[in-house]
Amino acid sequence: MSELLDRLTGLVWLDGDGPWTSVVLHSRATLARNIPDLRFPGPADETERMEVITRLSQALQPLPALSGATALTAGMLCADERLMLVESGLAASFSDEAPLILSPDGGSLARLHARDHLELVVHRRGLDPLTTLREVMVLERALARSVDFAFDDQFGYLTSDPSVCGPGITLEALVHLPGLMMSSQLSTVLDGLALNGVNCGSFPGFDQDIHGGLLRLKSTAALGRSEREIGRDFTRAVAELVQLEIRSREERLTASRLELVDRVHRSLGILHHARLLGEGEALGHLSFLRLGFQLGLFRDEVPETIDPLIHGILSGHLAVWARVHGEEGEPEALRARFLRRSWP
Amino acid sequence: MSDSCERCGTTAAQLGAPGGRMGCSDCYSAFREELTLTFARRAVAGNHLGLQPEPRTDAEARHHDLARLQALLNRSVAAEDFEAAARLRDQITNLESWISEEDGG
Repeated sequence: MSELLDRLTGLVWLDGDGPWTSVVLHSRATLARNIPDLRFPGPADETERMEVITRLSQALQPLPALSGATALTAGMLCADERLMLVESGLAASFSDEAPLILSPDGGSLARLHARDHLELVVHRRGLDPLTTLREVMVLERALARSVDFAFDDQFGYLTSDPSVCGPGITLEALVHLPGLMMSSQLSTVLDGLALNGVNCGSFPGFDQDIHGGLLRLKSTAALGRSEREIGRDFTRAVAELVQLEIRSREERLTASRLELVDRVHRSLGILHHARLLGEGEALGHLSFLRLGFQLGLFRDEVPETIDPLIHGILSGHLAVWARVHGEEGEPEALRARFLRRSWP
Repeated sequence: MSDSCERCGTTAAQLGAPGGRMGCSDCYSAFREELTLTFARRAVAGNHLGLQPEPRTDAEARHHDLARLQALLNRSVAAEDFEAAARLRDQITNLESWISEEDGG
């Protein structure tokens, strides 16, 4: 169990350098494909499910990007570990029992027989959707040498969700927008993004609520647009958002520096000393901490790697952390303890 | 218009429900008309434009080229770029006559 915790908190796209990490935690491309002669996962029976898993596992094995990969199946994981996968954005839902094939650095992933027969996923740190898109397409082209995928001249690659048929591509970015949130511009900006084909949702692991300006952006319907166009438009939309957020932070710092510094340090104080912390409250304070770190308001008071803590405080991660470290108590108490132990 | 997909039994009502999903690749043929209308209502250009399966034969490659030109033509018409549309229509006619000559030969 500790192995999975180490694995998921050590994912290469969760930490370190990347383009515009001050605002974009990571980028992700998901490419969906299906095998033409087998029913899609919804109506498929167990024989078809096994057929899909066997065929695709064999085809995935020789791919260099997945060399040395780990296969995670539902039977190997307890409920908390499955929740961890959802919180890390690696599984779509808690009830998702699809096997995962995870590359050694966690950057590439194949999900078998989930919503579609195959979902290839590539993550990269920061704002880098074009690299994720290119890499996921390289994986698909290599795989297409040995597997025929369901395709139609009009609808492109056929997916279980008709709104993503065509290239079968979804691009996502996990973003941190405290500046826009504090200046009450967030909803206006997000409405503008929706008009440009980018939808907004909550942080993985949260049902609906948006805390601390942390949210997930997703490209919408793709039919009639090429992969390159989807990548270019999504990158442009998120890059514009990054500039708005940075400007908003700078304006805040200029107009009310003391107020901002006070808020950031209050959050640091609470995270340092609290004995009970709910998920939403902790995420809100971590958001201010991340903002303070990005604005250079700290010296040695906070760990250099705040982003893994954002996942670490979620229920599944926390439950597994508690079991590995022999900790007991209510989730609020465990969360506060986990954070207190994370400071230098 | 079909009421259901013969292969997997997915019905038009199931597909039309919120979050409705296709049950198999044949659903796309069974519900082609409904889907085309749905995409048209959402102002989505109704033809795929992007990556295609690697052609196994020259004939397949030309077939893919034709589908791509058709998608570009639909898009030009939707954007009211009639100059580009006329150019694409000429290319399509040329390619179609080439294909039919080959088929005839």
